Amino acid sequence: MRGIRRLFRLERGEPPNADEVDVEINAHLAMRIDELIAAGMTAEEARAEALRQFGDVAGTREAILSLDRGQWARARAADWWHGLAQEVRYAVRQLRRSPGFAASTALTLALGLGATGAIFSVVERVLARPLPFADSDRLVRVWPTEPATGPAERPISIPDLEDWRRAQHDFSALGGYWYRAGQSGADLTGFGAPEWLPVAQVTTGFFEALGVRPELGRLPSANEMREGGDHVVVISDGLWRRRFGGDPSIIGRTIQLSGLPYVVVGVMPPSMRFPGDGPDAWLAALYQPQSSTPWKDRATRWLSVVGRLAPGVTPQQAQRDLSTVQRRLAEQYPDADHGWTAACAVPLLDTIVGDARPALLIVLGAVACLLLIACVNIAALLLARVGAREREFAVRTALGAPGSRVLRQVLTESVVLALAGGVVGVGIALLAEPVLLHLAAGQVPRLAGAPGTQWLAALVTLPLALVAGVALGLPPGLQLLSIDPQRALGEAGGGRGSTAGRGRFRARQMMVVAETALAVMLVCGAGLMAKSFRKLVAVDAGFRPDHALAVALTLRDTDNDDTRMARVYRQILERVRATPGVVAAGAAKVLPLQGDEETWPFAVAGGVIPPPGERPTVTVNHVSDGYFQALGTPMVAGREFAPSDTAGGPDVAIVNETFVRRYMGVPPSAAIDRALIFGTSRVPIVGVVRDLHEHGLDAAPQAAAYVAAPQNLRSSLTLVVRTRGDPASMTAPVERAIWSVDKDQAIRNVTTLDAIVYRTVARARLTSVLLACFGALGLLLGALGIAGVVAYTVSQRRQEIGVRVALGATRREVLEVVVGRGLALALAGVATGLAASLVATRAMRAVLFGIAPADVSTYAEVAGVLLLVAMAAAYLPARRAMAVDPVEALRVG
Amino acid sequence: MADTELELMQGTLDLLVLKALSWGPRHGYAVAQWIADRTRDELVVEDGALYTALHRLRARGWVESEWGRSESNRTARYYQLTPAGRKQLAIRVSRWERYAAAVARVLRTA
Repeated sequence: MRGIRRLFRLERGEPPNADEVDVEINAHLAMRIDELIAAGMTAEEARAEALRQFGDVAGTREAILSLDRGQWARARAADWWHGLAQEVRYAVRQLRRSPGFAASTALTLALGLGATGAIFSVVERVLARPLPFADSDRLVRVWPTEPATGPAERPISIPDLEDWRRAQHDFSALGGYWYRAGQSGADLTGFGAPEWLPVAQVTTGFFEALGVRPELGRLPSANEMREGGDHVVVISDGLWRRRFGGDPSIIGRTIQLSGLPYVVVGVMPPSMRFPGDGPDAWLAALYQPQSSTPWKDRATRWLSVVGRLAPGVTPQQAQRDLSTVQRRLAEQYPDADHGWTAACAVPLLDTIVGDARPALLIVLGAVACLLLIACVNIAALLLARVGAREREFAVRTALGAPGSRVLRQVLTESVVLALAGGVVGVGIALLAEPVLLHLAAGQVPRLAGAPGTQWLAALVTLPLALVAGVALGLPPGLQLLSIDPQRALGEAGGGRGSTAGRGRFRARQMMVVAETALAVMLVCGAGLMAKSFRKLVAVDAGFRPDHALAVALTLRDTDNDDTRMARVYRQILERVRATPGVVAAGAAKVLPLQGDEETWPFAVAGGVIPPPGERPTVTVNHVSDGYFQALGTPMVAGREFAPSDTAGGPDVAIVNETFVRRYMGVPPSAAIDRALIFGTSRVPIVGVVRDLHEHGLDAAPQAAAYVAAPQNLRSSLTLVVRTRGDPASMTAPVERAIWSVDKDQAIRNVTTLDAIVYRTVARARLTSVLLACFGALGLLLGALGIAGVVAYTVSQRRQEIGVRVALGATRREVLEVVVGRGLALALAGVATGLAASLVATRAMRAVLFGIAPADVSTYAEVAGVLLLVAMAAAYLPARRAMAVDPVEALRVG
Repeated sequence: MADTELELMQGTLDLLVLKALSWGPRHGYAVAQWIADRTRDELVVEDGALYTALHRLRARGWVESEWGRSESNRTARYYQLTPAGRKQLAIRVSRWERYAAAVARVLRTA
């Protein structure tokens, strides 16, 4: 029995071949023939009879061969898996023998893998995941441009958009919309407390371009989308469930939006979150009366456009097509479109992701860098471990284990280690992802409300762990392959001074150089980002953000009754100012840093006045009296608006310093009483105000003009309330003051100026904090790597150190030699890292403010910090060298 | 009719081969001899089918083999039941007996 099993095993070693089968069949035939001859047949008769009894010899031969081959292959596979299971058990046993090593390396890997998995998952959501629309790669944003002012996004007028739609060839649908998060909206009344809803105004083609269908009801018909059509509205799934209890009978019901009736015709699915973060209602732009938006005017540019490219058309083709159309419009309508001679088309996803892309990619790059440092660190540790186990492997080789077997065992160990790290890493990623999402909410597009997809983190982390495991096992594995077992066994103590040992030490040194270089890159990136952030928050926005409340509201203009709106505006300001605890209050259509003012063509009176179509444009904000005082922004010359600047009185304007410098070329005081020309009206300048950062801290202030709100009434306004104490505590009194004027006035949003400033720098802050964390971890891992190599040097060179001490070297000299070795490695790493940083940090240009990617002082500081850390890391193990007793060291040697 | 005979043959042949090997290791020719003796040549088993059955049983792990020398000093493959094969034989014998008894009962009442 035992004999048979052994033979059986050996038989498995060779694949089955035809010869064996022939031998078997021939033996059978020969025995049969012998018997038949013994029974009296002639040799020929016997042969014929044997073959007849056998049947189909060739067919049997084939059948047997294929059965044998199948069995052989199955047996080999079973052997392989059996062997692997054995290796895994052995690897686990080995790792359990040194639990400290196993736990620390697995945990290091887990941190690296988990962080990478979590960040990758967030980045994928924002950058790579398709938008929730059919064939979303065919969606583009298009806009007309004035080549004189560059390709920046500009709005379009309804007449121009209609002409685009008629003349274009490259789109299957093209639709316009107007939406500003927090500004475009309407008060929903008649269903309990009034609620301000974000509302988008859309044109024909908008829903068709996105390819969305209502989950309930229908889209508005062409008749309903036009001027004077029946007022209908499509509402969001969120509003439907929140306010109408998800009742299907909502279709056909009439709801009141800012006092006007609209019939609900459709409910959009939850995935329809466009434009912006998703309005609660979509209604036709053409319902607007000309008195509020003169949309029949070709020069009233206010809509954004989304288009669906026809199959096979690229954005570039579409851009050429629309540019041709727009050029013709500029020739045809010079009064309105002079200079607007081109168009721009950009994939919708790109316009949504916008400038979050470089920040996300930089953070992803940084975390990948950190993972790489962790891997190099662990590879160095594994290499050292293999050195300690050289004899064990030599014995295995001597006993006949083939090289591939030894390699497989080393790889199994590192893969088991890495997968253990990977499993913990998945846990870390799952914990870290919601934290990241929370931190990034509101600062990175596409994250709010997106359904969680935590499986992705696992999907990335585990394969990454597998790759890391193989990569970690290869250096020690290949090292072992090159060992001569006889020498390894012959050397007492193993490894020391052997060629393999020296090669391994060189490899470890190179790894230390590599991880120092990587740490330098990480810390350089973190340093640049931190400095950039400090410069950003140090920017003087032009106003005092502390002790100020910002209260956004939209006045109701039910009957287009401007006198009522003006009266409410006036009264709200008065009541708020009279509230105890309020120092000053003013209001503007748009607050600083939010940058969404109107843009008006203008001319300065006194010079050559160009025709209206050729005038430059300036951003215009509608502000109340006392607004600049409430902001804490000083007037440079003249006065700010006064309560007497009313609709009845003469029109007045204020400009900023940049405006005076750029368009008037006179000292600010000389600008007073000169006039601006808007259209046909002449508006005297009564004051020059200090520059405000209207478009963000990182954007230099531009020329700006301010008009008196009562003279150019807009329903949307934000109050700035300067308070004596904590502004947040004033929220309720200010709200009460507003409601004392109109109890149905909905309040859109209450925040503080501090919070507004904070929000504009929040993404830079988050990027900066993440990079700083990664940089610190990278530094720590790099320091551990250096300490490890120095410690190893000390243990390997005890004898030499002993001799030196015996020959009279002072401890200090010994220390210098040992620390010097560590520092030399660190220097090589720092030099490599600085060179690599010069290249790598170029990618950061887009997120840096006020600092060049190749900032010399940052690089010098990073080099200094790295060398200090390296010195400390080398010093601790080197102290052990000082303690070497020469007698002891020499005896042991 | 010939088709049904073949179908019946396959399972039956495996059973006969397992039974033949239950007395100890044999080479293929000896298995053929044993079956011919026991059935008094009434069941005609083609030698080719017999060898295919032996290799099939081996692929299933019920039979294992080794090379040996025959009585006439020829190199031949010897087959032997594995423990799994022995279990299989017991199962098939009882199944065959129940099958045969059932068919016999039907034929008697008819």
